[in-house]
Amino acid sequence: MKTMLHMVATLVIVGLVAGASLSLVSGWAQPLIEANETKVKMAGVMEVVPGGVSSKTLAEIASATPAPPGGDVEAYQVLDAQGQVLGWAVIGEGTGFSDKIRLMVGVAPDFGRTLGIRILKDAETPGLGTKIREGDFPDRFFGRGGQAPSLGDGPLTVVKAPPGAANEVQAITGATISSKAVVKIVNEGVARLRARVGAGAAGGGTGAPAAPGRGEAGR
Amino acid sequence: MKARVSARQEVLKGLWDQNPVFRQLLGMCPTLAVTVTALNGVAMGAAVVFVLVCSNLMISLVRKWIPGQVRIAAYIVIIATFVTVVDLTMKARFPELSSSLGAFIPLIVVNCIILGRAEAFASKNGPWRSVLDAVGMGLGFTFGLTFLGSLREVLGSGTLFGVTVLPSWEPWVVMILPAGGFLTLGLILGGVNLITRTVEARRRRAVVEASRVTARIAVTGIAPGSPARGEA
Repeated sequence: MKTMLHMVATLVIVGLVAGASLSLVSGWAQPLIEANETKVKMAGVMEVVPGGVSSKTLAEIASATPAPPGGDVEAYQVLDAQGQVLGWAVIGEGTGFSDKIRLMVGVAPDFGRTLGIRILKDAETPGLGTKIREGDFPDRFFGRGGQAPSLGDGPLTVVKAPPGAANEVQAITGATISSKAVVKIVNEGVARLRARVGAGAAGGGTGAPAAPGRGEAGR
Repeated sequence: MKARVSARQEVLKGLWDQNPVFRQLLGMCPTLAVTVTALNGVAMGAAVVFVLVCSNLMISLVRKWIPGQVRIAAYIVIIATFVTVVDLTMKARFPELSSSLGAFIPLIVVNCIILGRAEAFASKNGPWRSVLDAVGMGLGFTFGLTFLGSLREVLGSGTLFGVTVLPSWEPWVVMILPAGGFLTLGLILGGVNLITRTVEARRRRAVVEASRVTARIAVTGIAPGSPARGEA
């Protein structure tokens, strides 16, 4: 009986001390972790739409239309210094190779092509699947040298060779599943945003930035 | 006090003689999984050093109060606490590193090195020696992972710590795949065994040589310090 009490008491004390110290550490770390995530997100918005200086959330622009059931799409309209609309940054999420991939994709105001991509969160295989966030794979979505994949001919597709058609994106060697997952999330994100704000929203980047979005979406 | 191992020896044993990666083959899961780059090896190693030092110290301090029947449960809670501290700190301070090591930081909890040292060493020794032991074992693990990671990064990506070292190198993609981990580790283990065996053989030959001299002394009755011994 005495040993039993001793055992229980030991485990209770160890558990209490461990729990108390962890709650202290968590209280210190949690705000920092959240700040990191916000920082990464806002840096991502300006990165996936090159040249952007300010951004507006979708809620600010399309507040007139009710958010669709099942959660609104998280998107930012990116403006340059003159208030011209440069494009949209959409956050999308989907299943990757080992866990969910969360990413942000920049898309032109007319949804005609991608401007850039940034992976916010993934648990892909280190050294292979993680290449979705570094090197030349993200570059394949940037509008550099006129090579940005076009969404004009339908959704993007993944190919294993250098792309032929305008809507093709070359997969990473050894990480085809991760590459396909990224492209699928991009397609879905753009489609959701397009459905939310209307195809011709933002009027090709001219005029008052907020008004066209609201007008189109309101119809 | 003479029978006890010196403090220096306590640290050094983890680096080579009892290296967790190359000699004890402990913690193979993170060893194979995260060593695609040298930096990952260093970061994983640093996390393990921290957890190992903290848990060894804590366990050696409380070992007398913990009943034998519940010691494993108590050790695991202590270890898990330190691992969570490392995980949260890395997420808060080094988000990049934390995302590249993925799930392997939380998995340090079940790394056999940590519980192995707690059970084999910290539960039987005082705090000072337990810390020395943890430092040695942790550095040995870091050394193993960094060495493995460097080889795999150089051959698999042509870089070392992210710096290009082999500019016109066609990377062997297999090296950063799991198969490359097994290949590299297997070859390293073979090399380490070869070295230890050679050293061991040399030592044994020296012992045999010495005993032959002793035997000759015994037979001939030439006393130590005489010219016969000087010859040997």
